[in-house]
Amino acid sequence: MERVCSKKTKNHWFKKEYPYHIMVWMGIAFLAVFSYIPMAGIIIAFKNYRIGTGILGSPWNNFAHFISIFEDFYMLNALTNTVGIFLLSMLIEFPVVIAFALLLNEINNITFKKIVQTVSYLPHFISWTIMAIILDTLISPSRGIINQALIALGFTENGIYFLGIKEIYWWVVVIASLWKGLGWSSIVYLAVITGIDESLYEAAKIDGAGRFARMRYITLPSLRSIICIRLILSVGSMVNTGFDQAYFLNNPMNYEKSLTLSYYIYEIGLIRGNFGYSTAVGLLLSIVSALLMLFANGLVKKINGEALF
Amino acid sequence: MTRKLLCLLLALLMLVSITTGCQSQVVPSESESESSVVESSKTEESESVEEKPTQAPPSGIPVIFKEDDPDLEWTYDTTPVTLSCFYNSMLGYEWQWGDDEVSQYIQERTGVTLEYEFAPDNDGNRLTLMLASGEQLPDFIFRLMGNSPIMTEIVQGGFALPINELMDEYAPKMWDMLYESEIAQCTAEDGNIYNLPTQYRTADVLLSDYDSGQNGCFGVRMDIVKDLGETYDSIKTTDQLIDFFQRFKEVWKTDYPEILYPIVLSIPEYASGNLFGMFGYCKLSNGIYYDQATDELKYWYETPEGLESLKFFNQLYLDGMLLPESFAIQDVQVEIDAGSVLMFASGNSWQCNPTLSVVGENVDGAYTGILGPISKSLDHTNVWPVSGHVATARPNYVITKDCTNPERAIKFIEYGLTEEGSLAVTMGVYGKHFEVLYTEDGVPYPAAIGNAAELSALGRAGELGIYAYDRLWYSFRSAYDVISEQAALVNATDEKLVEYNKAKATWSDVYEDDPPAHMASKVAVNANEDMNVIFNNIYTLSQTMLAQIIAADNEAEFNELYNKLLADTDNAGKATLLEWMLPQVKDVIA
Repeated sequence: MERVCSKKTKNHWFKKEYPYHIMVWMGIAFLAVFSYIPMAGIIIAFKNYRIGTGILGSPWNNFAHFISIFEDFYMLNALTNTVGIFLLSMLIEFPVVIAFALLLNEINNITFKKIVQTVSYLPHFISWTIMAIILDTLISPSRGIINQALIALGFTENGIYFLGIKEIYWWVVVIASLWKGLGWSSIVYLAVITGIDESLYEAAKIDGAGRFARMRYITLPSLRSIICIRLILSVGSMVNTGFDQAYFLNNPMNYEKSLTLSYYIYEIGLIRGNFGYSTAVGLLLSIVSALLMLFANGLVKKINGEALF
Repeated sequence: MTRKLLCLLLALLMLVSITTGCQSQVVPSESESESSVVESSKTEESESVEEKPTQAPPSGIPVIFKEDDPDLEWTYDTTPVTLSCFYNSMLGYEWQWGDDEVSQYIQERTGVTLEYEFAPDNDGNRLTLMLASGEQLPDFIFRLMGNSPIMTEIVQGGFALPINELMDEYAPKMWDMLYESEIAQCTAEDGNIYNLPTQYRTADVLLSDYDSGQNGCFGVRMDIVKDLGETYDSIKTTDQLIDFFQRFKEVWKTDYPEILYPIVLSIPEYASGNLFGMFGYCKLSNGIYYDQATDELKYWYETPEGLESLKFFNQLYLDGMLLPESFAIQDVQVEIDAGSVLMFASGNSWQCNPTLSVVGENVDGAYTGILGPISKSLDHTNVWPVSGHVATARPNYVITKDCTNPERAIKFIEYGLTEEGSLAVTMGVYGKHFEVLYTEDGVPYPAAIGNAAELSALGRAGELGIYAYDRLWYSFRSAYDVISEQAALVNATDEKLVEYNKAKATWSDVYEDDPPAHMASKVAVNANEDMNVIFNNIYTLSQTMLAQIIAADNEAEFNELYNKLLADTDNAGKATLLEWMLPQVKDVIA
């Protein structure tokens, strides 16, 4: 009887859940085919890979690529730029996005709030290709609106070539990224804020807490977890920072500041055709990313008591 | 129920996305690829050994340069066939074979339809991935730089068929159509020829008046030059050029507001030494030249002449004539054609060719000419670049191992090397686009007629396919490229063209022939060699530092950045690279 009942339960359970299983297993298969199986290609990092001989036919090189990484003239430059742009964006984007979410939450007019939200996250759907064109339209010395205004106001005679001033490149990139991602990034925070119990706000109001006090003592603490999660994930993806921007915005004048690790890997691998060395750099950076993420997770756990994993 | 349906749809979508992009790879088996060179049409040949197929009729073009052999192999095989090709260069517009009159004519004559795939960018990604992924290669790959790492990969990786074997089997008369030096330079270590240059010039053609300007030159809006009281040969020194710019600056904003960039300098070209000939020595393509006196390899910017060149461009920057944003222009030719550039430094005079530029249409009375040699001193001798007759420093083509019809492929190349085929890509269709005229001395030359005479250079290329170097230059004899310019000189009723060609001719007066100086350009640094990282890092470094040096705001900053460039070049591994390269350069010279 028990066996019959158990079988019936299993069948019922399967009938109920099989569509979800199909979806999940498809996803797993997708990951396996496009993410896990290609990992075998990492072997290229340990070989002097030649297209003609293929992966298996290429000779081993005794970690020569990894040694070259530490002798590579541009590696330190790329690392500095990557970390610099990342830290600057963390310093600026994180607080600005959170502040934007907080302010957006305070808007009482629902229609206006929705309009602002929609307009703010539309730039997210603009690719960096279009973004580069927009930036050119805005800051080009000869055709840019900003420079035309500066010339008209007498601040400059010939326009300022912003993308040619390497010292401000990081700022240009961070500000452009902020404009592009502000609305989209704030959605997660808004979602969390929406989930906060209203009775807490009411109680705070009764106790005489103003808007900022409510933000400080109710809203922000509620966002702590999601902030930590976002921070940990950001640290883990630090090495991917700045590829799109470097690809579209770099030029000989700002190259020293625009070269990032992700762009350097692309340059070595696909432009120069040195797949082995490029894979070695990518592999090392992936390991570093993973370690950074674990470190960040541990740090957050220590400070916060809880973390992503 | 809805949820289940949604899940099933999503699952289906994932299944489709997994299978998308999975192509069946038709890779010929080893036995197939080994025998394809020789065996592919033996059956057909044995069947028709008794009588040859009907021959294509003669072109009817009077002999201009040389008479085509009437019995070439391509003439006996003009049945329709489609051959695929990968053109390793970006095409910025929609076009396919057969869309213009030149490709239609070639198709009609040879029976060949080329199915093009153009590179999506100029980074070389598509070709690299095509080779690495093992996908089926097209029949041809065109526009490969002969001494590039990717060419080495193609040759050493067995991706190309031996052209010599194809010629022996299917087009033996093609041997007579190639130059000996070209054959020698393209013969690989195993004795086979896997690639041949699209264009090739022998030294005598290079040294002719018509091919001047290969050593770097200044293309210029000649109308503005004349407005300011100068001519193509009145500005001969850097001081005179700076003075000219000073006078232009006074009238720039009022009289020529359309000029956005007074002077444009391509940093990648500059870094590779393309303009080195303008200040002495010769045009380089990888920045390295061989100093015979000291038996050393050097980077061009380490020389006194290189420093002089940097100081000159820095002076132009300080005068507000060389704007740093000009280093980042995506497509200089677009700006030149729009007339928004006064002067541009170019390693190749083709950019200055008024027959190619539409400046004459967009800007009233303007056209692009070139200035004569600019030098610090009038008796400064320049060295001829000889790059034109280093076959592996030119765009090359290969017939790939996956070629579906090697016989027709080699015959198609044979057609391209004929006078008819070469004229087709440089002058168009005889009787429709050009006729043959004769000088007083009886020297024949092609002269544009009809639409070809009325349209601008870009119009001829775009609409008719004439001189469409960005898509139809797969294989032809360079003499006809020169002849098309020669035609402009001989047939010059337009004084602009006469002046332009005279300007070019002034270069030939100051040249010495010193091939070894530039032979370092022939040495390829392969992608997977340790030297490749050093070589590319120095090239990248030189580009960034040269731009910053030129844009230095004062002498102290200039010197600091220049010394940094020299130091960084050393730190990047220059000594190791040049030590590795020197024996190979000497082998090439030998």
